[in-house]
Amino acid sequence: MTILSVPQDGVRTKSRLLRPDVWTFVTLFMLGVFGLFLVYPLWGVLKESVIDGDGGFTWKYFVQFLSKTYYLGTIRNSFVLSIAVTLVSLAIGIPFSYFYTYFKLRGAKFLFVGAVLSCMSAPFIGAYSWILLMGRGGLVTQFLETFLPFIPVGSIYGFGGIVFVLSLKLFPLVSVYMNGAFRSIDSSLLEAASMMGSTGLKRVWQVMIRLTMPTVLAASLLVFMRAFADFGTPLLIGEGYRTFTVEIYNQYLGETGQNHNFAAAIGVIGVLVTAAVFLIQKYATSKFNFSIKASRPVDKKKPRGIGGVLMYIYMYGLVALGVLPQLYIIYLSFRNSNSGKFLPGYSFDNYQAAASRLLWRSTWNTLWFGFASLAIIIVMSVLIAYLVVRRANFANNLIDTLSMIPYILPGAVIGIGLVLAFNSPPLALTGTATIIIIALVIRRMPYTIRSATATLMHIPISAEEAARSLGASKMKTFFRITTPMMAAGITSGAILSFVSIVTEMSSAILLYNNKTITLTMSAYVAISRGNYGLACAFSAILTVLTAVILLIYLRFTAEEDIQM
Amino acid sequence: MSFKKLIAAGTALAASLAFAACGGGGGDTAGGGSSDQPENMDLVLYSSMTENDLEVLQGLLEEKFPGISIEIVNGSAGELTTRIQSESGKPQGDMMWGGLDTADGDKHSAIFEHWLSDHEGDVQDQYKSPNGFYNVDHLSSVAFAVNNNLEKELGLSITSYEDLLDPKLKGKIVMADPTSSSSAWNNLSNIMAVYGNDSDEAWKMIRGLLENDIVIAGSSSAAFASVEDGEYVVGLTYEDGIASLLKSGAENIRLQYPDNGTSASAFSTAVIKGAPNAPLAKKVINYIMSPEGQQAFGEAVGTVRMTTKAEVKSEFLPVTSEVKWVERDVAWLTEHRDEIVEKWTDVFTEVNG
Repeated sequence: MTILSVPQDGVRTKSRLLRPDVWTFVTLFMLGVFGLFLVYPLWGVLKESVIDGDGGFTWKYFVQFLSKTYYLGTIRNSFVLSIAVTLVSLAIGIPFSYFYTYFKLRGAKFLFVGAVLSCMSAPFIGAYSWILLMGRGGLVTQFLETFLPFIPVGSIYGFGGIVFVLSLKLFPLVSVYMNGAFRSIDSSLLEAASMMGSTGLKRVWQVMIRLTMPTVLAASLLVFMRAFADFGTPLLIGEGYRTFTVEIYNQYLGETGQNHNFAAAIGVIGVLVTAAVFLIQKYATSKFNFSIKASRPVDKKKPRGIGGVLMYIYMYGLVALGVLPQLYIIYLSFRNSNSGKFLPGYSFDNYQAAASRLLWRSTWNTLWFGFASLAIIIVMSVLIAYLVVRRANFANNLIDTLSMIPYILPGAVIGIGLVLAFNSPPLALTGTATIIIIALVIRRMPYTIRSATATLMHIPISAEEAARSLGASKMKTFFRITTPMMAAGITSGAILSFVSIVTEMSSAILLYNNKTITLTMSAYVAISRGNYGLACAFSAILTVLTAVILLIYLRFTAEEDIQM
Repeated sequence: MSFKKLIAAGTALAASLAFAACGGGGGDTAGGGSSDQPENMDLVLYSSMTENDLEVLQGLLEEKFPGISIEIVNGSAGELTTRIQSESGKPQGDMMWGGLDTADGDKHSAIFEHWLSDHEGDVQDQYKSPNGFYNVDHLSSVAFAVNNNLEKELGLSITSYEDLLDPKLKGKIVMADPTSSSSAWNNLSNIMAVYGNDSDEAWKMIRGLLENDIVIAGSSSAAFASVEDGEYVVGLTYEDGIASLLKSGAENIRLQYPDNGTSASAFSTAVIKGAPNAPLAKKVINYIMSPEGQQAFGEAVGTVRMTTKAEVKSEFLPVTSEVKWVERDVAWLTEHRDEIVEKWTDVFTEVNG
């Protein structure tokens, strides 16, 4: 049967400050961590937004931004784009995970790995691959023009192209979260719904989507933020469709007309926008404040008939399209090349070149930075989720909101903040692995926090109360009862955190050096030097490495069913 | 091991790792730049130059300074100068090569050491350092990358700025973004040099290009690389980008200087202020600026025009005397750069709604 209950927050939140317990110290610790590694570095950046050339106070950068159509247009564009990407990602991601969860599909593991891989292409190289495939002179474009000239094909550039590329890249965020949520729906609820005449699509809408609404909203928020913060895709294929983050990037890191103060002002506007979106999402989620826990999960059906065929086409088609750029990069990595140009013929030359360019160090750094940051992320996210869901109060809501800020800020701004804050004693961290790990944790924690929070909202408090009443300490209850129940939900976020950690680039641009270089940075460096063959080799290794890690993970966790 | 146990164990392990990492993990990967041995041959080079250029320079330096170990940190000029500025509390790099555009004027005065090479006298007069820290070592001249095949398909012959206004080229010309890329700024500067600084003719040409739907690309290299890929017919770019592609074996594009005349941005190299290994950086820059170094680099790379008075023979570039040059008023451009970029932004917004 299903336990469906409403958490009784009001009773437990009384007089918390008067009775500090172990969780109070966790709250203080988290506030300290965010204060030191997020607020303090960003303060240095944000201060710039209201300081003019001579050190005086000024609003002129804000006025400049708000008074020019050119700049306001970038915000409008970012909003329109992010909403479009979110809707498309939900529209393709929810059916994907519905079929995945409720049907026995052949090659389910393959579909899962493919879906996750499709959200990991590093900025620049992924978009570059799409240009080679679907640009005006692209492979696919040329093919269609030659063989199917009656189909009007446009090119990948512009608004439609960005939505296409980003949705394919971000729908796995939706589907990975939704898999967990769908699985937590108890079959008795669905049976009850059918008996009352709610069947088929009607039932999906009336029962399943509503039951999973907290997760749908959490996933939408992540997709929205991710689309809003992305700058590699619009930069390369936007062609005049200028977004907000491209503007910040140009103002900070452009070669001409750099204006750090103006960039900081744009950053502040970005933080305000994010905070607003986040609060709206929080409000919406609070409308669905209930918990469910399946004790009898729904049995998987075998896909049958024409519907089954269509389902297979949908699932494999989507994954194929999603991993297409990665596959094309792997193919290109074997092509002969001479700096910026691919030549006929195939060889391992690009890989040999990579081996002489810090390949081993890049791989090693990628792995150890990845796992170290992931470990920190998991611990912090579980603790934060607990604070937010079970111990909601002002301080813990503040922690929750703070943790989401890095999601919108372009990585470059966070990178600059960290370098400014930590390049002199007592905390001289510039050039160390520590500063990179800090950046990775701050940037990529939101995935795990969101999934951990959404999961915990689904878990009734009764089991914890039982443990406490039987004499278990607060910490023992947390580690032995709560954490294991959250495991499935945490993992979905952790997988996405990991994948995005290994492809992190924008904050690393300013933080890395040759001792702390990663595979993604090696690929980026190769691109910026104009050696595309070498960049493809690094990216291909990264893709294969991630796929292998995911497969090992599945090997360990899955018997019949894949737990996510 | 069951899944739940795995996660529980993982969380416990993670907790211990997390605290270990907080306590100064990765200290062994730090260090490097800050040691102060007398005979240090480790050079950290910040550079925005291409693969082709860096490989040639690295080879020359390894020959000239036996035992040198060069660590190259690559990035766009904007990324690197921002980086140097942010790192000023604890400088990580020794010198920067490439991307330091003399048209930036004194903007980077605070982050580079005011020091000039011993060979300042061997530099052509118009490329002498404007401010005492730019060692002006190479040029970047404005040129069109033209895709010969696509040009033929359209039945055009593109040689001058006026040819770019042909409606057949609508949406088929590409340039980097002048608000962020020095190569695009270089192209705007040349239009000013050809038609007159801030003249109506110059702005008419710029507006004409925008109205012909010129595409603003995200990166400087797109303006030649994607012409080669067949994405666009013409790229407004610089000669060494095109020459590098020709050197790599591209056959479908050509290096076309505008009939109206071309001019060059001058790029330079400098020692980072407070560099951990400044003495070696100075030796290296002395070599780069020497007639010997200029000739060796220019001839080996074959795609870059040098600033030396000595003669440099290049395989992929026409001799300087065969190209039509126009005078560029660098001082005026430096002074009015922000205004021009702002006016460009206004015209861009107006044309694109």
